[in-house]
Amino acid sequence: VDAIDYEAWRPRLQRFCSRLLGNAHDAEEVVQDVFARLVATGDRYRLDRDVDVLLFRMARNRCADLRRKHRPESHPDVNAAVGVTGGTADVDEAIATLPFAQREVLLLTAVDGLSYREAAAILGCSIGTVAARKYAAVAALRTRLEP
Amino acid sequence: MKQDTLPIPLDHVVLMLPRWLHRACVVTAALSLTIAVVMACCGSAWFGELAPRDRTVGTAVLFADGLALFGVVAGVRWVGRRVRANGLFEFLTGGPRTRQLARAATVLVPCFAVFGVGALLAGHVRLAVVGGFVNAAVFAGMAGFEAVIRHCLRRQAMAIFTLYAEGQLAAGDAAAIDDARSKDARFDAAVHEYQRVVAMVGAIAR
Repeated sequence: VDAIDYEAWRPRLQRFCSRLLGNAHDAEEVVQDVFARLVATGDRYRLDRDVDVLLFRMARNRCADLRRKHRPESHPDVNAAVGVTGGTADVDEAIATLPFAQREVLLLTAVDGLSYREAAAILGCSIGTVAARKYAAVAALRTRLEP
Repeated sequence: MKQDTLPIPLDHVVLMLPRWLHRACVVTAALSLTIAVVMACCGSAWFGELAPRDRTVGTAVLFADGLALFGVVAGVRWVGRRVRANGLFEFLTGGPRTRQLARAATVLVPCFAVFGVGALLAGHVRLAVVGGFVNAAVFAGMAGFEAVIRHCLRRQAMAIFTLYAEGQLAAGDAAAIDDARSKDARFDAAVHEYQRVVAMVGAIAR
């Protein structure tokens, strides 16, 4: 657990959670909670490899729990939630309108750059499901981003 | 996106048809064939009120139903395990060729239903049930079964297309799709469009 550079991981996880939840405040709490849980129960995990899979899986599951318990209100300005300005703002807004399952796949693979095997391990589903959801997400985005 | 260290084999991507549907089809087909055999062997005793010609027609239709359903199941197991490269884009876009079987079956459903009603009105109750309504139900089931197959194959096509467009497939699998893509300008345009949108999404990370 001590080997994890929390300060290096914090902004990356926070951006992921902000985009997933559409709320910067909740995202901050999720990341804090993930780190606290890791410190408390870190002995149970093998941290010599796949640290990113572990951290993203914990963050994603916490976001899903939060969403199930009390669906967080979508932030009126998703770009402000993740600190985005300029030409990519439209893309961020379009991603925020995707269904949760498609959004998480797109964020993990296209934004955070994880491989399909890693994304499948994080989401607990097959590579085929990840790829099919990504196709659906991209198709929906294409429609929404058309001028 | 991070490239997987090993190419992703298509066998790991393929989504099989639901097992319950396979079983339901096999049971229905077996039932049809059994009834056909019973009609052929004990027709005069069990279906005495039917004219011999009606019994023969009923037996033949049920036999054909059973064989057709077995054929569909076997075909799905053999062909549908993986969407073929030349059919990939067709299934992805739900092209007309993917609906041929469902359309044929859907056309036959009202035909058999009308036949059943006609036979019922003429007083041939068993012929109406066996020749009309049972066949209408069988073909309605086949149309529904085909719709589920199409849905599953489309999901396969979506997954394979995504992995192909991102260069994640093994060289052999990608070569077959390259060949199909080179023959279809719409397929090529769809790949470029997909890559353009993914690049736009990737840009927000930077």
